[in-house]
Amino acid sequence: MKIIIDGKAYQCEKGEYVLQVARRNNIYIPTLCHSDALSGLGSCRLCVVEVVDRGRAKVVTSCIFPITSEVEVVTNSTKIQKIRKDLLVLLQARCPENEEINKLAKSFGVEEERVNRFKLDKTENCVICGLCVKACEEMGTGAISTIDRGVFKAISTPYGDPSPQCIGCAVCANVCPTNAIPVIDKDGEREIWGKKFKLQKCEECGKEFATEDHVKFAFAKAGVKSEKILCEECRRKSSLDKMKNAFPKVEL
Amino acid sequence: MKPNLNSFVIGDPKKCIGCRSCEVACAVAHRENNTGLTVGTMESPIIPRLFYIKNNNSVMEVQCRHCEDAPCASACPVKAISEVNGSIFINEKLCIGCKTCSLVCPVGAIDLLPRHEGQIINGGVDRKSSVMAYKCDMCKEVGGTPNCVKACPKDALTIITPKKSKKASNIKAALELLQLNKKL
Repeated sequence: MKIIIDGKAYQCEKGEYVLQVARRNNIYIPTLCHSDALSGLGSCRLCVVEVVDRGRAKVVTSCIFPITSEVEVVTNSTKIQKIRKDLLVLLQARCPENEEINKLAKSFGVEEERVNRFKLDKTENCVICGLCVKACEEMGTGAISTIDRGVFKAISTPYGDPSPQCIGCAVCANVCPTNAIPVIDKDGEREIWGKKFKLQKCEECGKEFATEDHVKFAFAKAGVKSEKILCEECRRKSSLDKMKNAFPKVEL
Repeated sequence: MKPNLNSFVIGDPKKCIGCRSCEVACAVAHRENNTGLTVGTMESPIIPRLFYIKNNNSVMEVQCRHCEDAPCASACPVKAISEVNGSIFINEKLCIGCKTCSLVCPVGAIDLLPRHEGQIINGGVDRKSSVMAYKCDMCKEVGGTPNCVKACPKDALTIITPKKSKKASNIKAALELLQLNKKL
């Protein structure tokens, strides 16, 4: 079927999300909590667009709005621009010192620090988008989750204690759009979510490349064993050595 | 039993000079939307899927061996890695960058590098980039013949089709044995 985005017609399948169709056709819709791998959150509301259906326009989040009829989508009307600006003003009020939010806010023309009446933690970095929670869930560990409600809502491990499920893989920090999760690698240890992990040392060169728990998790999941636990570089060196001596006289 | 074992590209350390032409060719083959006909006009960063390694005066490029029963595919928690058309393929849209596949690869063929997001995703804002797993995909998405093999100036990279290569070794061994028997 076809839909109209910003005046032009585009082909799409029924059930596809507006954001998918827009990206496929090089139309920019800003997002914060969207990730192709961890889709369906719809928490940041930054991807809102106007959808004109049967003469009425409604504001929807394009990342989870499925196309069921031939509608018209407007991605950059004055109303949408104002909504995005307001969103960024509030996000910036929550995380005034966060670089990523400040960059986004600047691109939408938000002046600095307009909202001063909230008494919040100025060093707050988390926008509670939920990407980290979803990523940890997909990993199979599920060590973090959202806690409490309303203004007290936050992301944490159960009771704030070091989680027995956490393996220190730091995929939460990888997917976080605002760099809100600190991962500290120091003195052979990694500290994340209040838990300390021993970093795995490569048995050949001694380089620390992951936490021991993550390595155990990886090999258990893959169902394979390795005689020596090596970092990537040493594994490549071993491949090179094997290829050098493998077939001395046969032409490859 | 499978009739054909997966093909893969292998480097010869005795021929490789470490010029990295293959890496550039790989990045060029995987550029998005056909941007940049020459390397100088490429907007996306050069992210090769084969990795240079040096050890004791030898150099080589390491790439995916497309293992049967690949450990990376079993290890991936989100099932982003699967066997497609006789090669192991990482689905970019599903990868969350957890590094688990990279830890279990026996040859070190997977590396985690910044995910490149174009203008339509970032809108020109310099957003924080997350990492993603990259590895050789035998150029299956972009034509079928591995670009690195064509680019190597020393012919150090070859495509191995395991059953054919085994047969060639068998024939050579048999002929050598024939020569030996003649002398006895």
